[in-house]
Amino acid sequence: MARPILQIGLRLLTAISRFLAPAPGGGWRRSSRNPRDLLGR
Amino acid sequence: MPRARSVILGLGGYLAHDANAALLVDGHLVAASQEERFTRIKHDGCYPRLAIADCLAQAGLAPADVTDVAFAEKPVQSALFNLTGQPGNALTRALGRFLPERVAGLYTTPARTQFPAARFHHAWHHLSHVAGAFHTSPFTRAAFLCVDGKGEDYSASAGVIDHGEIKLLWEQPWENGLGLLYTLVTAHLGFASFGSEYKVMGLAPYGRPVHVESLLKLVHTDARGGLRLREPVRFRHTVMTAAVPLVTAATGIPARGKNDPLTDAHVDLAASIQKLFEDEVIKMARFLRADTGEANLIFCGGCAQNCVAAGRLRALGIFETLFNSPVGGDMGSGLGAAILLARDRVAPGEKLRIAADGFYLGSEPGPAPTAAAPWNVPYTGSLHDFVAAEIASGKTVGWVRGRMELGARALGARSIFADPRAPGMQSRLNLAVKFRESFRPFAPAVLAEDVGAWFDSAAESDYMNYTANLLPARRAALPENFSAFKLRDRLDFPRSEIQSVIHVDFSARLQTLRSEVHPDFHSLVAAFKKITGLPILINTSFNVSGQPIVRTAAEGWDCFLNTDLDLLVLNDEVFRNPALKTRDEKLTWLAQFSKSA
Ligand SMILES: [Fe+2]
Repeated sequence: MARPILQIGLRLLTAISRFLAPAPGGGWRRSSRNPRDLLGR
Repeated sequence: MPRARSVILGLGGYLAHDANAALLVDGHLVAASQEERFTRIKHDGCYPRLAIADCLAQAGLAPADVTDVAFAEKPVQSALFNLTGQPGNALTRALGRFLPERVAGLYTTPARTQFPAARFHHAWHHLSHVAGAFHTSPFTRAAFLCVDGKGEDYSASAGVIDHGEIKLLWEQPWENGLGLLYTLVTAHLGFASFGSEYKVMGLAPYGRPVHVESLLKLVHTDARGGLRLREPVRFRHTVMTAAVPLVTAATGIPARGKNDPLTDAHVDLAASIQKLFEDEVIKMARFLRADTGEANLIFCGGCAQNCVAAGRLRALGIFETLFNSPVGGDMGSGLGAAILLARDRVAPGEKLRIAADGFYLGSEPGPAPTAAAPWNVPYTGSLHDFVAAEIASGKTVGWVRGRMELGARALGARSIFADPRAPGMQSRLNLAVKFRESFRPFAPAVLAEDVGAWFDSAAESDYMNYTANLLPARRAALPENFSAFKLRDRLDFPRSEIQSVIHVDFSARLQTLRSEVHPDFHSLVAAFKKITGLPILINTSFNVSGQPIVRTAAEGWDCFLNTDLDLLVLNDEVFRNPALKTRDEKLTWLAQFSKSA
């Protein structure tokens, strides 16, 4: 039961990711990461 | 001893390659080592249980004393990328941020089981590299350039670090960047096993960089060192292997099988990828210098292990000072993650200074095996004087003494030493230990106080992290048509007095020795200089091809028996080679490691 839902979720995520993925081409991008992010418990 | 307030265990490379552990007790680096040295599987990426145990034993602590565990990667972020197959974007990043790290249960389970009371942390992979390098560097502020195969989904990160406060300014958020291109060409050249890039770097001086333009057809580039492959190649072995024909198509050079001979075209290709790589790194550094205006540069990440590029970067003086960490690659990632966390607990405006003690951070070798006793060689006077005299008389020596070094290179605690002047020493040592020839010369270890008399850079290279060139006055005159010689003839042509440590282009991958950083090794080379006048020894790692560097005295003895080395030093004792094994027995022993070679 959980498996198909997971698969649909993954497929959806992949589709949206493809849409949001950086355009082809190289180059430095401005970083959007938080360097202090250590995700502590 | 008062109870420690903060015991941080840094873990890196787990479920990937080069699993490693480091222990920081109240802000002091107590121990660090790589799991491969314990499991005896090169680049082992299992949970580093044995390295952890060794770190705790050195600190005299129990698992229950560990207050924090810091991982050198964000597995959820990586997993999202791997699942969707897309480079980092706002969605996967946001999901990585909000999904609880417990999602990566498989990843942290062994550590959570071993350290149930500890807090858990996950550092951005590249920032582990940056913190590990910066806090063991002399700088209080610097620009940083991390060029890495892949950290989460990033191939490069850059910014400024001020007393440990990191400003992350730029990133190349895709896996198929500069490091991957180098690895792809490495695979094309027949070195498909993990961590073989140094072989291509070593081959490069023998070729001509005539294929740079062809290789550039494979990528998008710009003036700032931004680079991305046109095809979505990934670090997965099967994907990489399937992508090798791209290099063939671009260059017209057939891919080399693992055991095929190296042709001149292959050697030229090695020279070309190295040239392209150096040029891109230099563009990155120029961009970063102009963007940040900083005087110092921290160059780190797996690609910073390319000491030829680091040497060229330093010689160009784009930044006034350059620091290239010996553990800038993944073997020091756990160390970096632990430091990053410790740094978070220091007052702003203060730099957490980490004394790395020459990176001799592993444990002592333990006693010599009793089986060795009959072959003990008695000596009078100092060990260093005795061994130096033996080396000066042409003997090859295995050396297992003091705490083991961290990182990919032997820094003089688990090393093989020999006289670089001895004729034919390069092939003699290769045959004695590896039972095959190699085109790569060995690395010279030079007294820091004498390096300027031999090489064109007198700056430190404590950890073999830079190359320098032999001074013109020390070079033999070459025939006019030398560059037209066949590779073999160029190799064999007498080019200098210390032939076995000098590349065909007169460069050398040197280690400079300072008595305050490498007291034991410095004493040995100083003793050698007293006898011979030469302040230089060959230093190569004590292992056979495909085997991790030896760790204990017993492993040193076992390896020694299977080589044709003359002498073995274990702690304060010297042993001669009993020559108990036939050549066939040695080759059989050697073959067990060649699977991973
Ligand atoms: Fe890395």
